Amino acid sequence: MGCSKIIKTTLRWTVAALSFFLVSCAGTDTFYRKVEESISGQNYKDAVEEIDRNSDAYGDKNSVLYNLDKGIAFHYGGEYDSSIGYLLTAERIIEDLYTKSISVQALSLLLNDNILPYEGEDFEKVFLNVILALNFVQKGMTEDALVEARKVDLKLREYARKYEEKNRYKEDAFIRYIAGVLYENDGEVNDAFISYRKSFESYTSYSTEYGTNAPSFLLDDLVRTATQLSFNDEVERYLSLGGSAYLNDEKKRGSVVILVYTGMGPMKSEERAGVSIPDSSGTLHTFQIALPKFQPRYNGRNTYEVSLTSESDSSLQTTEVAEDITAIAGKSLDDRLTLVYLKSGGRALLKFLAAEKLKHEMKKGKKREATNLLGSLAIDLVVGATEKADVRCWRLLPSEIQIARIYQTPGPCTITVQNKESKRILKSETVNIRSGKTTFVIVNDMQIFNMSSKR
Amino acid sequence: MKKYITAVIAIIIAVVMLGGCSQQKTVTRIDPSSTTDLSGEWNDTDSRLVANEMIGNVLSEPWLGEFEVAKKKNPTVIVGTIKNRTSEHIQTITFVKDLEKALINSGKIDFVASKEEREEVRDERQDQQDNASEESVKKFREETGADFMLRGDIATIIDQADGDKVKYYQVNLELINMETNKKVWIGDKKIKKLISQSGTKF
Repeated sequence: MGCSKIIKTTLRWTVAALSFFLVSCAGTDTFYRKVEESISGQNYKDAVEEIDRNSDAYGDKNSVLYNLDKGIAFHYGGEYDSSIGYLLTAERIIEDLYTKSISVQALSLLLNDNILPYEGEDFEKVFLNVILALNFVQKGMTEDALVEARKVDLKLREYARKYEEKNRYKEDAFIRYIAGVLYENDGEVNDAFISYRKSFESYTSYSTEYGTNAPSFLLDDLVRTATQLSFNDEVERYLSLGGSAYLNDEKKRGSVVILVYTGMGPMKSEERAGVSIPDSSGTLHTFQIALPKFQPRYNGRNTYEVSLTSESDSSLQTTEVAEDITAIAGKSLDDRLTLVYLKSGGRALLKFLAAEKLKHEMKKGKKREATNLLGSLAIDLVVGATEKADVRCWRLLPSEIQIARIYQTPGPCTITVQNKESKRILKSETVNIRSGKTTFVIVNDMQIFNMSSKR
Repeated sequence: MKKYITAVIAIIIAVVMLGGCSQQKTVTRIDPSSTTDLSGEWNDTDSRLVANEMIGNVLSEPWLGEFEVAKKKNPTVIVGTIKNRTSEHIQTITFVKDLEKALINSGKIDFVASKEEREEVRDERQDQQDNASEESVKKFREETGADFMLRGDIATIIDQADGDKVKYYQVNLELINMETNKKVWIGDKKIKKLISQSGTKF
C-alpha cells in the first residue's frame, strides 16, 4: 500500500509538472510567428523587441535559445556587435551545460526532455559559430572570423568522435569555403588553398547527404590558388575537373562574395510512435513514444540573379546553394535520435512499470470494477500525456545560404540582387571593389511559405 | 520507511527547483600579477609570462651585442603584428603591450611607436604647426626609424575527448632586420593546459 503511495505521489508531481509545462509553453508559437513575420518583412528591430518582450517566457531552461534568437535577429539587422555578444553568451552557456545535472536528468527520464535546459542540436551549436564568423567578416575582423571557422572544425571533430564517426554532419563545406576566401584576402594563399580543397572534398559528401553540390566557381578558386603556389599537379587536376585556367593579369581584380539567406529554417514538430508491452496477464498495453522531427518550411525554389556593373565592366551570375540548413538539420537530428530514441524507449518502459504497479494496487483495494477501469484509463492517459517530444529549436535560422562570387576590375560598382522567381529586387547598392581583395555582401530573403498548401 | 522515501523524493525535487536561485555574486580584489585560470582560455597570465620569457630570451642572443658593436647604439625595435591563429578570440593587443613593456624595461632597446600610434602623433604634430608656440613646436621628418621588427603568431593544437581538453599553445616570434630582411632571431614558447569539465553534477 505504501509503495503505491510513492507512485501516486510521483504521478501527482508528474501531473503538476506537466500542467506547469503546458502553461509555460502556451503561446510560444504565436510569439515565434510574430518574430518570423518581422524578420521576413525585414523589420529586424521589431523582431528584437518582440524577443525582448518575451524574455521571461524563455525562462532559465531556454537561455541558450534566447541568446541564439537575439543573436541572429541582430545579425539580420546588421548590428554585428550586439549579435556577437549574444552568440558568444549562448556559446558559453552551452559549454557550461556540458555538465549535466543528474537529478534533472533523472526527472527527465520520468517525464520528458522538456524539463532539461536546452543546449541546442549539434548543427545549431555549429551554426552559432558560422553566424559569428559572418558577423566578424562584416566587421572586417578577419582573424576573429577565422577563429570561428576553427571552432567549427573543433566542434565537428568532437561530434564525429562522440558518434564514433557514424554521424553524417562531419564537415561544414560552407564555412571551409568562407575560411578560404578570408585566408586569400589576407594573402595567405597556402591556407586558402587548403581550405578551398577541404571545402571541395566536403561538398562531395554534401552532394550525397543533402543534395548540395560544390559552387561552380570553387574549381576556379582551387586552380587560382594552386597556380599561385606552383602546385602543378593540383592545377592539372582541378583544370581537368572543369576549373578555368588562371592568368596572372587577373591578380589585379577584386571579388564580391554574395550570400543570400533564403527561406525560414525548419522547425521541430512531434511525431508519436506506439510501443506495445505485454503485462503479466498477456494483455498488450500500447504506449506512446514522442519524438521530435524537423519540418521544412521552405519550398526550395528560389534562386537569385546578381549583377555587378561599373563604368567599364559588367557581370551577371546566378546564386547557388552553398548550405542547405534544412537538410543538415534533418540528418543531424536523425543521427542524434538514435541516442534519444533509446532513451525515450527507456522512459516509456519506466512509465509503464509505474502505471502497472499502481493499477495492481488499485485492484487489490477491492473497489468497484468501473472505478478501477476508469482509474486504469486515467493512469494510462497521464502516462501518455507526460510523454512529450522536446520540440525546442533555433527556428530563426534561414533554410538555405546561397552564394555567388563575382570578379571585377577595382573601383566602385553597383551590385543588384534580384529574386529570379518573384523578380523582386532585394538589394541595389554601391560597393567598392579593391584589387586582390574580397568584399562580402549579405542579403536576406526569408519569406514565410505556407507549406501545407504546397502539398 | 516509505514515508521517508516520499520525503526524500520531495526534497530532491525541491532542491532541483531551488537550485537555480542559490547563485550569489561575490567580488574579491586580487593581485594583477597572480595566476588565475578560470576557463582555460588564453589569459593575462599567459600573455605576461610568455612576453617576459621570450623577451629575456631575445635579449640574451648574440644579435644584440653585434648590433651594439657595429652601430655604437641601442637597436631600435618595433613590434609588428602578432597573428592569432588559435581557435579563441585573443586580444593580441595586450600581448603586444606586454612585449613592448618587457623590451623597454630591459633598457637595452630603444623603441618606436606602432603604426597607429605614429599616425596619431603625426596628427598632433600637424596640429602643433598651426597652434603651438614657436619654441615648443616639433619638427617633421625627425622620427627615428626602427632597425628591427618583432613579429609572430600564436597557434593552438587542441585535443579533446568528452570533458577533457588539452590545449597546446605555441607562440612564435621572429626578429627581422629592417634593412636586410634577415631574420636575426627566431624563438618560440609553448604552453600546455589540461582543462577538465565534469560531465555530471547533482
